[in-house]
Amino acid sequence: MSDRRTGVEYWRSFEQMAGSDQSLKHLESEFPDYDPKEIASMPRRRFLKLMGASMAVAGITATGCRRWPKEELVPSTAGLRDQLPGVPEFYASAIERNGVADSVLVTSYDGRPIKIEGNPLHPMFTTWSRPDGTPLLGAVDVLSQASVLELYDPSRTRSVIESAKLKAGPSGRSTWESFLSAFNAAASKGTIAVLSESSSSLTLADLKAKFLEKYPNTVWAEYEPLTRDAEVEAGQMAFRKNVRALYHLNRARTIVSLDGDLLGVHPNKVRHSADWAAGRRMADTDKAMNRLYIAESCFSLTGSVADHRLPIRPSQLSSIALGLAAALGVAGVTAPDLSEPQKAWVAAAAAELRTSGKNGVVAVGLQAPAPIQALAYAINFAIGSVDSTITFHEVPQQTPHIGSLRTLGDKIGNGVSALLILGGNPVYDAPVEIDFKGKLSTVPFKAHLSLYADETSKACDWHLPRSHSLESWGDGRSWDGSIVLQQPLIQPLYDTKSAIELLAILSGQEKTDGLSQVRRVIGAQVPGASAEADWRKSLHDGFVPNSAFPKLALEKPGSIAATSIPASGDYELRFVQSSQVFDGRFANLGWLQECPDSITKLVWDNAALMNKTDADALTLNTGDMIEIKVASQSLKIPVYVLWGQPRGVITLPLGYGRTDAGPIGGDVNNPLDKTESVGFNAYEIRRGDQMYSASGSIALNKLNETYELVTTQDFQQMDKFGAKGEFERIGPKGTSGSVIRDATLAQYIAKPKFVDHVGERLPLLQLWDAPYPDVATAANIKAKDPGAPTAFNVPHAWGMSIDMSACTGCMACVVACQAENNVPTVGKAMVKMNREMHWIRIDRYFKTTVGPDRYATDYENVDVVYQPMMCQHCESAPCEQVCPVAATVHDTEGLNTMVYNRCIGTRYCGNNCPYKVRRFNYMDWQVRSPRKGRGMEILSSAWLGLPDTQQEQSIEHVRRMVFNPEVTVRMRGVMEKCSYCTQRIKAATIKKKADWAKGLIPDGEKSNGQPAFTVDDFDVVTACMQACPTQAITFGNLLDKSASTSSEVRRRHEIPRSYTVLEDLNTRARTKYMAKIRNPNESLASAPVTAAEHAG
Amino acid sequence: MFPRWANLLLPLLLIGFVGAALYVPVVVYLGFSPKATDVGYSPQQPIPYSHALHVGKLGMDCRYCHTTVTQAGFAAIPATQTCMNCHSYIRVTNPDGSSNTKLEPMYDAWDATWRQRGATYSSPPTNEARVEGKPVKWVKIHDLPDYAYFNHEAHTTKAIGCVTCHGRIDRMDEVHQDKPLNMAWCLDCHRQPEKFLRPADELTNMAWNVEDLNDPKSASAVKHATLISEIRADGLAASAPITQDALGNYIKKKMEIRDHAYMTSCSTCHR
Repeated sequence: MSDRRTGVEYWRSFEQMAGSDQSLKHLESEFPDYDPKEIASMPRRRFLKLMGASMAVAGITATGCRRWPKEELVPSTAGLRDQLPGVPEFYASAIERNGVADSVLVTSYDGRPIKIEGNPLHPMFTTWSRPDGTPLLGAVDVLSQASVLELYDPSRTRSVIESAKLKAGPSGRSTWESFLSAFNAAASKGTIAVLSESSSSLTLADLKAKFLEKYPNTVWAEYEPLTRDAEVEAGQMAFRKNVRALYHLNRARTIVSLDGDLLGVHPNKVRHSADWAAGRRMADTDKAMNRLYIAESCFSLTGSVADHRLPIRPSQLSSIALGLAAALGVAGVTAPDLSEPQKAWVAAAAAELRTSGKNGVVAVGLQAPAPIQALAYAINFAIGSVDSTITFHEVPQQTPHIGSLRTLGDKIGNGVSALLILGGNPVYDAPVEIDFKGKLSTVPFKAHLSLYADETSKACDWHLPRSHSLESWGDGRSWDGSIVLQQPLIQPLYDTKSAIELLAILSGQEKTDGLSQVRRVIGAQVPGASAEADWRKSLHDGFVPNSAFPKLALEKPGSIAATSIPASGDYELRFVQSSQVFDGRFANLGWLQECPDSITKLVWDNAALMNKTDADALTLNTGDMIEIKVASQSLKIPVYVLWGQPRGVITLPLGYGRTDAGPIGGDVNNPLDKTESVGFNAYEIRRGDQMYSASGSIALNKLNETYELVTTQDFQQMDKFGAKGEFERIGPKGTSGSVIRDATLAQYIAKPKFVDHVGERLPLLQLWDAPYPDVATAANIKAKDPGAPTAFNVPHAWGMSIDMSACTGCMACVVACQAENNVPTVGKAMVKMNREMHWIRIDRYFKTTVGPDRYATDYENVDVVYQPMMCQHCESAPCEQVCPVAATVHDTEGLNTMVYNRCIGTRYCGNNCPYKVRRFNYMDWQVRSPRKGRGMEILSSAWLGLPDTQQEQSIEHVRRMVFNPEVTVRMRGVMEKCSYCTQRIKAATIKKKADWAKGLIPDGEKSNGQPAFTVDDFDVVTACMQACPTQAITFGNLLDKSASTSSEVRRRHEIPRSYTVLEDLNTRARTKYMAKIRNPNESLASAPVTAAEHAG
Repeated sequence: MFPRWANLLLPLLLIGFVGAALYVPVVVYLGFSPKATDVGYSPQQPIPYSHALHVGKLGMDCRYCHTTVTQAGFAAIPATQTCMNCHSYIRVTNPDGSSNTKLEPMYDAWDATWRQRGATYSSPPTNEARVEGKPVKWVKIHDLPDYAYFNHEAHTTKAIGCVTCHGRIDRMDEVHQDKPLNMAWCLDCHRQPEKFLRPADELTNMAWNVEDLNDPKSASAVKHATLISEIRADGLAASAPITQDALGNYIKKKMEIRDHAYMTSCSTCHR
């Protein structure tokens, strides 16, 4: 037993490690706040009274006897061309954010966009391709995926609002005509100023020029809170050009990142993730894989999957960069003083970069100071990776954000008579020292174009409702510069206009509709898009071919004036983009608020992330409030003690503490429907000269208050016998457990089947034959009784494979699943009670080497393992064995199906599920607000205040439009869980068989010995597989196997590092996991010990 | 001890119990029987469209209007354009010469301004000249619960005739629900599809009768001569009559229709 005291351990949280009561509660029970005694202790009379009352109410509403609501069929008047009612269609479009457009593929169901996926044709978003190069699937991040929820957000404004009218009546409704006449009157009195959000749209740039022609003295400013000013400066500094660096990680063997979250917040994260993961998967084929070094001043997604992570302070980044530059012989650089671990990290990274040459790359964070970015460019020249793993491209001139906002601030009060704010939310997110709100109040006429009546709108005289990108024409440029076309999927729901349409009107264009403007500009400026056929092709593909930024042949930069900055002060601040709400603009989207942060697993909040050593020094625990003072500003925010957080650094996620976001994100000033803010506003202490990190005089005070933070990290622990079983499950010291298995590349090469040599191995006796036959016995499928209840292989056998080596924990699958399967949001109070509804979760395990006292002491260094967890579709499913009403049973293809209309809500199945993937509907979530009280209030008024059990009338009409009609909207009282996207399976299999019956598919056997009407690989793609940027999730037919080919999932199941989680329970799960392979550098002594090593 | 009237309590109680014993099954039977609630459901439609006239008398094929039945899960209700294909040319007046107001919703949908245009019933607005009106709102009759996902394409391409689920539409002036459409009824067929399968080209034939195949002179037997020989080649004795079972089993084999375990899996219909 004594050897259990040292070695490797996997943890979910400090609380679990320390064995706190709260954490133990989650071990013992899946729903710790549920107290059966509460019901048992109810007096008999009260129980009878309640029962009688509920029966009487049931009688009154006669819910059991009435026919369900009448439905109407409304055909179009003119016949629809090329469109079949009820058959989804797919259109390419674009979603722009912070001046970079995502190319997306939108699913439209009878004219309603309901799902957003990456555009597979666009090279920046392709994830899967066929061997011949045909693109199959594309991915986008959680933010773009959730934008479909934004379209149908009921709190979007529906008309022009005039603040003068607002005083007279609550609606303040006005018209575009009255705004335009008011604008013209104001414009004639003095200078006009325009403050626009950043946009890469060519049409908008053209209309800006037209607007400036009409109003020549206009002050034009641009501002984004997550500005990339430093990138622009760095290009000027290094090359005297406007330059963008593109990384090609697929060619890189050694990736060194200088505070660059390439896989997490970078605008090109999809391409980076896909390319990085391809390099990880080489472990299986080439016995080699890429190695990722990162020096970072926060704990980012990229840091969590890096092989060597060096936690640093933001101010130390320059020293690290200089050290690396010096070691690699960049001219004019002298090596600064570094600490021992820093020296070792720099030496190892430099040595490897030198040998990798053009297969190495030094990537740098876009938020890093310009000299460091320029220095990183110079290092790439020094190692010879330019034009291989990094290419430089010429980008158009950009307006500096901070500079132009300052200029605007100075001009206000200097004759600016009208200010037009196009998008953005500067009152909320402008640097604090500019005092934008104060300046704004002095402008006589101010108007704001935005989706919501937000903080800025409320400070303006006019709010102009903006069209969503899914309902208006536009264009933009993706990170590589390709012109992507934003094609509307639906007519504007309300009386709204896009920025393009508004500028077209204001600049006096003849045609002011979005289409003619976009067509005019793109057609005129891009030769490849002018002819009708070319235009249609571009529209279909989603982008204009060959329109990427031109590649530059650059000279090696001269000496860069980068100097090492000494660290000052006890603490430094690091402002980061929220992984959920971006810069705050998505605060009103429940999907994102409830999507747990990748690393902290916090929901519905942000917090000041601190290292445990720092927190201990101030006797702070997670949830304690602190006050952070920067100059004269201060911020009160709770602390979250995070493992792996660099010492002396406090990370502050931006985008929270919205006061006028709406009924989800916070609507503090609404007298009729007040809603508290979500989280805390870190913009309150953010200055224009310290946009991403702040140092110097930063004071920290502990306040004698606590705040309740809700994180999902301790939920749904899969431990067998509570705390006792913990060691066996997630890996006791010395062995990998039944849940997590990992190894280094060297160990994997030495012992490919290492997963079979760790953990508990029991002889898995089977009552029946193997679930699906081998190739050798494929002929036996037909001989066997195909309907035998345990065969589960007729005519397909569905299975999934999850590669933990590739998973970056980006949560894209979680939001994709939510959109696809109508998964509701429940709110913070309900998440705290463990009632969140996500069908897929990503378990994040910390892995540390612990000392004899069982506690890890190195709180800065930690390894992370991500494990996406959803229904494993066990062939011998424990849930099915305990359901009293057979509401969860197997189908013949191996799906563990959930029959909602049979479920009576005993929750036995959830109790018996060893993977803890079943979720119970405690409420009619879809008709309740996640922000009201404990989420119990009903949103719309139903008859007698009773929710309509059929939800037909109770759910707001606009909110209903986002539902996927192919998936049942569950009501309260039923269990639900991952269905392997059974609706997608059915759509594909029915189509295939029907096509075969019509003679469209040749008859006879396929090369894999299956009937002609069985689906091909990639005919069925689950939502999570579709959304995954790293191909970590694969789904398909396990029977699809022949001598020459096999389905991707079957191939992966046969890779040696595939294993079944909790295999010893003999559940025969259809989902297999591929063990995480790390690639540490042997020369770095701190290389973590892995469990496989101990297994010997 | 008890007052005299208490003697009445016993018989009253007995009557009460017996009454309840009778009442409950009756309520359960009436209340839960799909026959009681659904079969015969015939809501009033905005236009009293007669299938008996169009299908029965004029002999139009189902697929002329319900174009998507073999291409999609959803059997589309025709666009107004489909109606106007004919009705632009048909003078619609009652026998006594008075105008027929029943069709007004159709004209309203086709052209919101047809009245102002001075169009008469005999010259409705053409496609080019019209201003799109509010579409006709038909009431859904065959309405399954939202958790049951029926797919027309899956059934029509595997030779389940329209009449099997919808009844003799060609004889209905106004359509009503003819079959219970409850789960037990669905399963009757999913367990034994051979009882209902028919030749693929008889999909929309409302009067299809397998017995006709046994009369060599009948049009049906002539049309399906190849099929008959295939069934006989498949093992049916030359003397034996072609029954639904013989035909159904042959088609089931030919179309590779899965057995009942697959057909009755929950995921077949519920998602």
